[in-house]
Amino acid sequence: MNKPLTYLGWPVARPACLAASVAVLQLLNTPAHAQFMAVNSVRQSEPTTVPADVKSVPLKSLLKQWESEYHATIFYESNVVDNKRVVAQPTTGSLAEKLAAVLPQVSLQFKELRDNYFVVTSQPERAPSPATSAMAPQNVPASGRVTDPKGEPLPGVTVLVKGTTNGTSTGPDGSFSLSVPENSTLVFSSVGFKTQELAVTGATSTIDIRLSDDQQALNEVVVVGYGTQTRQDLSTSVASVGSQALARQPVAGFDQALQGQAPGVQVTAPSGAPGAGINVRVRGNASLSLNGSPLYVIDGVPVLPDYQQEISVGNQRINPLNTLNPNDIESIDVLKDGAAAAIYGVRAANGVVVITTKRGKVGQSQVGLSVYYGRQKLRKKLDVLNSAQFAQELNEINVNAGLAPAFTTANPVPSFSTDWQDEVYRTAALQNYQLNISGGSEKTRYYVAGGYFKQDGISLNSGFDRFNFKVNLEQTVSKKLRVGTNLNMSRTNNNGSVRSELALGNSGTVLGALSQIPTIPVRNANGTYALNPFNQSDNPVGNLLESSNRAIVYQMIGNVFGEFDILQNLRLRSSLGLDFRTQTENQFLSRNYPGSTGRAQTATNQQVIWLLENTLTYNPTLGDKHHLTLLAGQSMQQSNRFTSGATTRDFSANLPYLSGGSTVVGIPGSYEDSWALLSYFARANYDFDGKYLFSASLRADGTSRFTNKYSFGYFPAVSAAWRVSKENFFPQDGPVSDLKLRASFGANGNQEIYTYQRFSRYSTGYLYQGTGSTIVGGITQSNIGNNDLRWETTYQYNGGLDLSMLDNRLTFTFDIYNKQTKDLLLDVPIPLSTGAEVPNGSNAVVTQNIGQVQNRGIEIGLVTTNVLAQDNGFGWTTNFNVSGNRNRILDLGPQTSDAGVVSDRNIIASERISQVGQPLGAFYGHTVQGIVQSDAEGLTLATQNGNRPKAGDIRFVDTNGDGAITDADRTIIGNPNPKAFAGVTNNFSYKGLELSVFFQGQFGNQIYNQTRQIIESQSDPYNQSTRVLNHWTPTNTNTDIPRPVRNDPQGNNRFSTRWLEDGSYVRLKNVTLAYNIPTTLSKRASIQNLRIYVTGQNLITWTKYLGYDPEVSADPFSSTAFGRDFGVYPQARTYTVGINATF
Amino acid sequence: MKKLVIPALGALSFLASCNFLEKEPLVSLTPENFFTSGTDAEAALTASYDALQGTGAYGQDLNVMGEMPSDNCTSTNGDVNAMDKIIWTPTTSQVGNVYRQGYIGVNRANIVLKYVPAIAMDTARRRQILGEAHFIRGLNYFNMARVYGGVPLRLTPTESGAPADVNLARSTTDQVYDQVVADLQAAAMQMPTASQNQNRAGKNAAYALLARVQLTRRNWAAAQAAANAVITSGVALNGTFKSLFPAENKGAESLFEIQYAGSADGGNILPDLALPAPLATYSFPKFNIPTAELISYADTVNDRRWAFNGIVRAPNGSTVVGRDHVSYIDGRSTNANDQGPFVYKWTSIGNNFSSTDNTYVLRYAEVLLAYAEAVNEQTGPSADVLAKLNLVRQRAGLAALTTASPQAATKQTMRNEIDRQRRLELAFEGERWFDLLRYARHTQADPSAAHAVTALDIIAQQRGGVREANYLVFPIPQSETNTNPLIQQNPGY
Repeated sequence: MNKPLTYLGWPVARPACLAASVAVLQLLNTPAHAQFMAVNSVRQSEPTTVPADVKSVPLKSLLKQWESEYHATIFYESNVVDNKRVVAQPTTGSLAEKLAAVLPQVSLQFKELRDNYFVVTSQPERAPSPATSAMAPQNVPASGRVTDPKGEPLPGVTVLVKGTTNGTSTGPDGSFSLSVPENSTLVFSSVGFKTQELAVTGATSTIDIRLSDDQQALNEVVVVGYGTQTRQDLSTSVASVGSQALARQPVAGFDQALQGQAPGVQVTAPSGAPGAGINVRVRGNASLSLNGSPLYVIDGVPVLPDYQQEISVGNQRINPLNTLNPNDIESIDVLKDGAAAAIYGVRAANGVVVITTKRGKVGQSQVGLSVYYGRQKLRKKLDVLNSAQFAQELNEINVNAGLAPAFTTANPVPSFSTDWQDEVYRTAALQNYQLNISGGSEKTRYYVAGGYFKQDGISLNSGFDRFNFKVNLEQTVSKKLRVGTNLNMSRTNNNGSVRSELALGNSGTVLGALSQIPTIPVRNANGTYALNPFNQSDNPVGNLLESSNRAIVYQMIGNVFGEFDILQNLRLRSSLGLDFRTQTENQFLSRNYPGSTGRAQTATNQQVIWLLENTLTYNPTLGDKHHLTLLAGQSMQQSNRFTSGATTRDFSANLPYLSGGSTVVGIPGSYEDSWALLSYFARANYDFDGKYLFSASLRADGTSRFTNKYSFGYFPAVSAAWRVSKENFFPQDGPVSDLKLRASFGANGNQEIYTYQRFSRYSTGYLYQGTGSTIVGGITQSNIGNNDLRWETTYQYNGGLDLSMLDNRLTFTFDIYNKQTKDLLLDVPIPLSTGAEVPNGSNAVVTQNIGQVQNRGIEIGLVTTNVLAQDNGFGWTTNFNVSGNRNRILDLGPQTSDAGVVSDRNIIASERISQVGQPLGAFYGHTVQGIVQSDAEGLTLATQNGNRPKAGDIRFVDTNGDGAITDADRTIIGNPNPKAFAGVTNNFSYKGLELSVFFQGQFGNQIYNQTRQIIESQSDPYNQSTRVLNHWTPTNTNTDIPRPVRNDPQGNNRFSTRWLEDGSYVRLKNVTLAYNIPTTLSKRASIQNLRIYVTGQNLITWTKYLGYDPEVSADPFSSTAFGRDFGVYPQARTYTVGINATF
Repeated sequence: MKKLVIPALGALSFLASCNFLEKEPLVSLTPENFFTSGTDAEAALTASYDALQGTGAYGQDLNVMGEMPSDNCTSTNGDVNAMDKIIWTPTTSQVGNVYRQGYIGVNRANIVLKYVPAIAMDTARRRQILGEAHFIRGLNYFNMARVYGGVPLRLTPTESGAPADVNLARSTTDQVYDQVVADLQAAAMQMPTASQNQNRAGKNAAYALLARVQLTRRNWAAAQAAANAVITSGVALNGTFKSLFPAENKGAESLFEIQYAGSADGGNILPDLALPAPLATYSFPKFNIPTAELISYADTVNDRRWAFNGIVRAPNGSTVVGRDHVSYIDGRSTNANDQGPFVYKWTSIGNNFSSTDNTYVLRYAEVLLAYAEAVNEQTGPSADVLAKLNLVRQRAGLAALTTASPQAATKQTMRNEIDRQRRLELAFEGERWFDLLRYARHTQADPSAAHAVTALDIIAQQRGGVREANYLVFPIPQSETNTNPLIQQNPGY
């Protein structure tokens, strides 16, 4: 890395309402600035005194005199030249000779830029003393070419004379030339490559340097929010994922591609629907009721996805993060511990994901093209009954309930069997095209890209497509001023006609495909959709084909910025960011939709979030061993959102617009809200000799969600690290090259309650007769506010270890953390005497800060180079990570039972319980104790729904021993939280061939398979899983499946351990085989690089889970109801072929 | 340098004012942005009336509570079993609902009383609105004091969820009654005499309610004065008793009644709960079935309030559903649920739990009886007492009493006659159990002032002969005692 430039401090005016003062500064160290800094870097030398008895003159006046004498221009930093005196030598000759004679007296040197232009700079560190400098070696010309490991020219490589700032950078063809002192050493460096040195003994023009890829993650640049750090300087816990790992997977969004790539980051695709929201949790669930998503910072613009939809059809959830093309992302850094995230304050409790998009690099323009095409198929079909089996089963269901059989000689079983899964699912195409042009000069750098991605769904009438456009520009206006922009624009189209997480009869198409009966055709002879004769429910094919549910989202996330060097070591950066989104949803059910007369619904949603940020970074010079970086900043952000919608039905023609309907349904509605954040933050990073690293930060977040009393939250963080390997006692030649111990503490907040939750809000609609005969509307307070509300606060302690050994062929990262979230925002019962507006029989509630949750965990990351590729030979690297998180509720406040007993509160919501000491989402239900084998045995057992169980019924545990199975017998029976999750990627290379194999999995969680509760219910005229063929009969007693009986009189299907399954799985998620065509061949087609590849995604899954896929959640974004499978859109297996080419 | 830095810092200080964080709800109304005009005051008052329609108030449970425990009514419906059998507990639905709805009404009235005074609007109308809000708050607190005894006295809107704001201790019964009296006096003071509007409460409603309150408190002179204020205002009884209960009420003697407009405003569910089907939409065991004792107590031959009045037909004119005895109806359906006597003071169809029938809260006949009672308790039978009582008797078709009549012989016989007329006149209108409670307390306070039957007699009948005095008040609902650490349960629960 190049030496950083430093900046001076800048006090910030403090607004009256801000209690904390802010003034902080920081090192700017991004790759973007590396070039710039290399050229401008100046180091002040020790002042040198000249003996007073020698006649000396001020250097400055001498230089001025020579400038006029020689009509030359001499550049110098005034602080380098000021106050220095030299003895002018009475030589005649060129200006260069004169400068050479005097400058070494004061440890300065010069360089002739071109004719009559000179620059005076300080001498290199450890420069020879003035006495010997007179005999400084002569400069000799040196030139050559720098290439990458493949032999391709490498532009923009910094070439420096070691120990000096004298240098240049390579041109577009990788060539360079400069004048160097004899017997010096050249240092070649470029981000992403290992720095290489070369001794120059005399004039040479044949330098040929091949830089090798930098395997050393330690030097990786980590974007930490309002700045960057190198990994070796980090004292916090940050996981990074590079562009390669992201771009490998054929998925719509980067969030999905993050799965298995970073320790501590749990990514679940809750459904297989194209473009659907992805569930990302960093270090567990820290809240019961608030948004658990991490904060995404996209090119500096914070985005908190809320997956909102105005028309929620069929539980299809639009993912706002799909706006970004994963191809355009350079790197993702996940700020995991409290200290790293704390700079984002009140929105950081769930971690922060920092996304940096690609930038142009200095050098010749490059055109990149990336294309892939693929096919997707249903990964697995579930076996359901055919017509004959179904008829037999339904007859048993009826007969066991004393009803007439459904299929008789009068109503025979048809000869065909409709396979509804075959009718609903299909092979679907996946295609992606992306073109980018990037490049730049010293002054201008650009990256422009456009792309189109289209993923048809494997279910009929579903899919997602995206057009995206991307511009990143940076312009150096002057030596001190740079301006630029990062823009991401997209149009996404979500076709969400699939109705998942809904039962048949409720237009569910996923469950419809499983439970619609095989004895009817898809369509009747007259073309209408056939319906179940025993139960006039939906037709899943008709439900899919006769509806249209489109959500079109235009989104722009980006900023414009300026950077100004106020002083050499003080930089001001101002940026104006924008997150603009407009979403239009249109639903249309045609007149042919089963049971419909046509229905159309439309809704729009427009949100503008703007952001203004100013930061100052300062890097004072404190000597060689002390490195201090200070950052101070201010940020303000405001959101305005407007939504509207309307519905109509009864269409005279199938015109898919509101205007075709004849009946107005309800009053068209609209809504508007607004929130704001005003923030101040400061951070100090200090290290002593790269050995002892310290960092402290504070963010003061002012938020409009709370009253003045609580509008400002203060989120401090401290961290420290010790690079043991830098100590003298540490063996420097041993196998361990780097060892760092880390510890941190940070406080983060979560404020994501309803924007106006704190207000006492009034509503209309309290109708009563007016003073006349007409009914008039009354208005009164409908919600009691709470001015005492404040954010949830998460305090997180983190300890970590970074180890690098065997010449960096093995790097190991270990983290252990304890996260305590306090002041949970929960609805708490309050007295009825408050007059709270609640319906009869309901308790009054108000949102209060009460309760605590804890997450503790361990994370391990390991990157190894098992076989180091040499000379294009065989190479093998492995990237492995595993994480375990334990989640526990510590406090939910008290509750008083009807008997007046005060105890810890628990909250029971359908099949879950939130209870002190238990994890979030704990399953709460009955325990199965086998099957009742005889009616006589049943008479000895507790009643179920008031009756004794019969032979073939399930025997439930009568926990409280009261002789009846009731809700009171429920206990905690399962845990949806995985004990561990892991990912491992192996990359093999041999010559131009690359093979990447990625496994991913999770372990020890349970899934509530509610789909089975339908297809193994044996109580209704719906199709069933083939598993029910093994149901209990007097002759088939060794089974766990009860007898079939209509309407389930004994409650065999109640929520119990019967429906809980082990959700552990290991998945061969991605295999990519690529071939890089040798450059010698591709060059003939004017192609610089050409890579062709085939990819398989979701290839093999090892699991005991009986449903479509163990990676599933019917309540994807809930922190208390995850891990339930109920007709969720199944995942696809995908094969793609693609090429990447650069021109 | 200055070119960039100065605008940037300028923008910083300009935008960084604290107002930036003040985001009032754009779509929701709040107290801060709502109360700006007379229209807003009207809307807030309308909502206060709306609370009285609720099923926890006059819509259902208050009426059930006022009749079901008494000797007037019985039912086989499980929903009202606890009320009928006097086995209610803190978790009985009516116990919670009346409390919940009472405080909802109080809170809505408190909102009017807090914010309307500052609205710039027509001052006379503002006085009227504030007077009505005082009336509504007084009515809610009076009902709760009769049901639960002393309840937490909340006189400002609840606008914060902070524990200090939501938890309130109980006031004494007297403190609550004092507040009720103060509210009703404020109501009467602020409302103009001429503004009697049957949709809304007026001056006479305030005085009529005040008479009821003072009777309950045994303040005979004050009760007499309040009743007299109504009597001297020139209100008159309806010509016939039958005319009090058309499909929709609004009789001349109505002082305050709960308005219902069917599905337009939520409607009245009582007719569907108390009438036989048809008339009622559904057939099920009905609430508030008149007891055989009541039917035999009434003179169903001569008393026009109870006498046979004709055959009732279904709205389509075909099905004979019963015989109209004015105050009750004989159901004649084939379905057992719909046979026998039913309350017939709501005479329109049920309309899917959304009847247009109104429910009386205060009418002039009660004021006359209150006057008679107040004077009799002070002075014994007098011409003044008889004059008021006779207005009620004669409208019912009964002979006028004279000082020679046996009922006018003593204070005690007069008391018995007034009690009797109250029961027959106001049956099913939600007052009987509260009268019986009142009689029990009067007898406790003055053993010489005996009533023929009191709540304690009914309690003893229902509870195995034990006169359990704790049932003279209902318990505080469990939900309140669970959440309010400052509340004390009534003894015996």
